[in-house]
Amino acid sequence: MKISDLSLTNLKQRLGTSGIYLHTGPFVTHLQSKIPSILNNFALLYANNTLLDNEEFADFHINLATPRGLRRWYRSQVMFHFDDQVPFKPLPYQQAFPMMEWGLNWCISNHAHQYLILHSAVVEKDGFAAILPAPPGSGKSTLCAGLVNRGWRLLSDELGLISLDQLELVPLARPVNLKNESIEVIKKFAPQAIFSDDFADTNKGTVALMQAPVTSVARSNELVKPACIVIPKYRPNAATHLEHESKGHMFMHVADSAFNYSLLGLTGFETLVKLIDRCDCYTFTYSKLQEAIETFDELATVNNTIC
Amino acid sequence: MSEPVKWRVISVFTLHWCSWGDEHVVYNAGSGDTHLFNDFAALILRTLQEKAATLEELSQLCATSFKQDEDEELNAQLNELLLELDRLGVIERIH
Repeated sequence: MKISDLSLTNLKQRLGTSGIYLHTGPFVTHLQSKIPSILNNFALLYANNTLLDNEEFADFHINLATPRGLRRWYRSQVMFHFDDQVPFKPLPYQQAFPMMEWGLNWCISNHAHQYLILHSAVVEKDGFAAILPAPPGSGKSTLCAGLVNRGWRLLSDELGLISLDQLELVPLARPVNLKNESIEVIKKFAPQAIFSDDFADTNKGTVALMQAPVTSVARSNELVKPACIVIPKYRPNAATHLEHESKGHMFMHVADSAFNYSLLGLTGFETLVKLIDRCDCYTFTYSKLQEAIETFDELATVNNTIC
Repeated sequence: MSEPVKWRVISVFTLHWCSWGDEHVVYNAGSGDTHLFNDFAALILRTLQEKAATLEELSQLCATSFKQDEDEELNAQLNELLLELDRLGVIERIH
């Protein structure tokens, strides 16, 4: 059963009481909330995700709720509860939905240590999978949103999951988190894409989330081997430029961008060595999204021709 | 007359290596730190992994390996490198 199979009334009733069990990639999340903006944006952006019935196990138990006391009424806030603990300070009530997304990212990156977890987008086309590790502000999510609206599969916008045993990329097709100017850029670039509300004045500026493509969600069980690692760098007015990056420098960059490289110890090192060994490594500068996508298409075509 | 200072890799820590061309990534299982070294640093570290050596011995090795003059400039570079490796907790000074 999919989320979209439930009526909004039914979804509201379930979210507000016993909660729902949501399947995203390899994880099951038990979500509860009575907050209307969670309901509306969740129904829209997770419409194609699987809803599990009568599930007894969940990886994460999440509840977003308003705090007790005056804060319920004066400059109201939202609290993120994880397994009945509150790991973060509250945020303004209007930011409940992005808080849910960021909180879920936190749950995964702090607990799913059966994977090497990279702060990266991951996309795939015709079996050619590219990892895009980059810090905020690099244009990673904009590029990722552009690619997945032009035929690439979304594996993740934020958390690249790499299985430690098979060195495979594990899909986690969740909404793409866009910020500030990139929201309008992608809305113009892909008018058919489905967006959440805009959430202003967050600590990242204005954010909006774009629904993961339905085909990407449907292929959440299809793991893929990584083929290349590309560090994206958005520079205003820059020419599109793809250049090889040395493996040593890429190793250090990816290690820095990983959430749990240090925690995994020698296993993290050995996994990353295998990853860098098998991947072509690039740095990619761009300002024009269409040209960027053409470059990626060419990379995929060349790779598939060689293979 | 006192013996010259010798350096060696801290033996209780295992170093794990991976090399791509002239880049060498080293994982220090003791500290959990990962370092990226060039050929110069890698040669010194591999040498000190096998046995303790003085600055002079290392200088001779580098001069031969990199076809350089064994001069003050090389010694200064080596000294700087040894201090950096010491600061990183990879090698230690012995007498």
